[in-house]
Amino acid sequence: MIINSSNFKRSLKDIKNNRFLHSLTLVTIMLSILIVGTFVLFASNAGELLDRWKSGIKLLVYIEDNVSRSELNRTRLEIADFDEVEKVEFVSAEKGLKELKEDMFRQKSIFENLGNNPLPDSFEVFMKKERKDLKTIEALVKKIEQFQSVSEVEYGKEWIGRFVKVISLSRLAAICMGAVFFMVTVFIVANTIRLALYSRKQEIEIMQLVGADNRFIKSPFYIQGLLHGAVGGTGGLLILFLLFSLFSMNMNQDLSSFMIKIKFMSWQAALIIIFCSTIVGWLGCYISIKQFLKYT
Amino acid sequence: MNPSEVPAIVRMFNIYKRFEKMPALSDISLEIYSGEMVFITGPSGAGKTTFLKLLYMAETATAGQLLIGGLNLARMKSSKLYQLRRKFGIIFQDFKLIPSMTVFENVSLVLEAMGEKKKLIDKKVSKVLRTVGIEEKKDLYPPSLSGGEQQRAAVARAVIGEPDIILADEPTGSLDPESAVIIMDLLREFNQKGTTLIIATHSRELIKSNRGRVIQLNKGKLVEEVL
Repeated sequence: MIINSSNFKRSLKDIKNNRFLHSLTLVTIMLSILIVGTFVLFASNAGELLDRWKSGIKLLVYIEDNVSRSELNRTRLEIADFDEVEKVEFVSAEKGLKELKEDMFRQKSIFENLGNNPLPDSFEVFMKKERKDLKTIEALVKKIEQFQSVSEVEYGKEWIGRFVKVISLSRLAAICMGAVFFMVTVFIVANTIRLALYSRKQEIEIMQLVGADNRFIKSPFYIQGLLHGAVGGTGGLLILFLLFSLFSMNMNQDLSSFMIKIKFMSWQAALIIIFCSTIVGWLGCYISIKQFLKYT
Repeated sequence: MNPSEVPAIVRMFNIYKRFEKMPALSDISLEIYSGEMVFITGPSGAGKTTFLKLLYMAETATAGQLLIGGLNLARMKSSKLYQLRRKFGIIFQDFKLIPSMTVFENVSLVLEAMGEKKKLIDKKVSKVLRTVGIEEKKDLYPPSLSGGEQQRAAVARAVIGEPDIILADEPTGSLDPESAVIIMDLLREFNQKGTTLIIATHSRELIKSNRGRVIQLNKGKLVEEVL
């Protein structure tokens, strides 16, 4: 393929002459990128959320009533000795209630008519960063539950499980959708170029007769394919960014109380998507040109 | 032309061409020398156009051997076909100008395909359009030109690449007598500069008014060769 001003002009001229066909291809690529990009956004935000959650994960170990100080200390030291554990902090029932009141200051009326402190003493068990997978957490919980002084261990098991599943599913969906749209887009670009080739069959035959080599004939079509991919990919991402900006403004306000902020994909990820889209354009072109020149 | 002095640019050995079971050319053996003017003549269906098409490989011979400027066409890969085609400047009976390109673009296409620089292309194309007398029509599209003007544009495209051989299929067939004379004068001029000229025609006047070798075909066979 030769990218020079002459071939570029020939490509643009053909795009101008077949505006409808080329616009249709561009819109298709944009839509594909929009859908794939949405899944990428969802997967990347969910992944980041999980990472953030993982870095702050702690187990709440509730202590039975009437446990002696020495027993409490012994349990604490033994839990702190486990490999997975970074540190263990004691939270007295009073401190626990105070923190709860602080966390829920908007719903303080709940605490107004509260008689005795309903909270037990507890330990906050912080895990080592590298040992925060679900299996290790579950194993640790089982070990801690063995202590007689421990009444309950809380760590939001169902929530974590569901969340991990949703993230895995969304990642899988992003990959599958990416693969499907990759094929669909290659097919559509290939068809557009094929139609453009057939509409210019006579012209191509004349070019061959006057001594044009295949490289000269193919170049404008490859440029068209690359343009389809690059412009379609960039356009799709721009639309996604606009939609994201619109929705994220409201969503971020709603999510701010959970300390969660959704973000658009990184510029590196955007560049990778545009690059892949450009490759798709080139590939569609390659397939149709190869077939076409075989029969002319 | 003395064959011993000038090298043969076209050499045909026992060439046969069949379309399904219909013979189009049978047992043609001949040589055409560099700088010659050759008329391929005969009635309709004699095989004149097929003869030309074999030369630029729009068709391939069913049997026999054909050499053009040292290239054996039987061994020619389709990907290298452009190397052969660049030896020719072809004037088609139906002109074969690209309707979506201006006269200038149609002519410059040959040089662009050869990878020439834009500045040189502009200079050469303007010169050749001036030579064939349609410089003022350079920005027009072929459908808006008369038959004679389209033929001149076709001549300009055929000669712009300075080919070794000009092939012309009925170059004056669809032209009025005045335009026919102008076109033939142009072709003769290029022939006098050393370009081999092979013209397929059934026009006796055209042959009489020009000095060249005449190869007569009938039903695909070479019936007469007049020097």
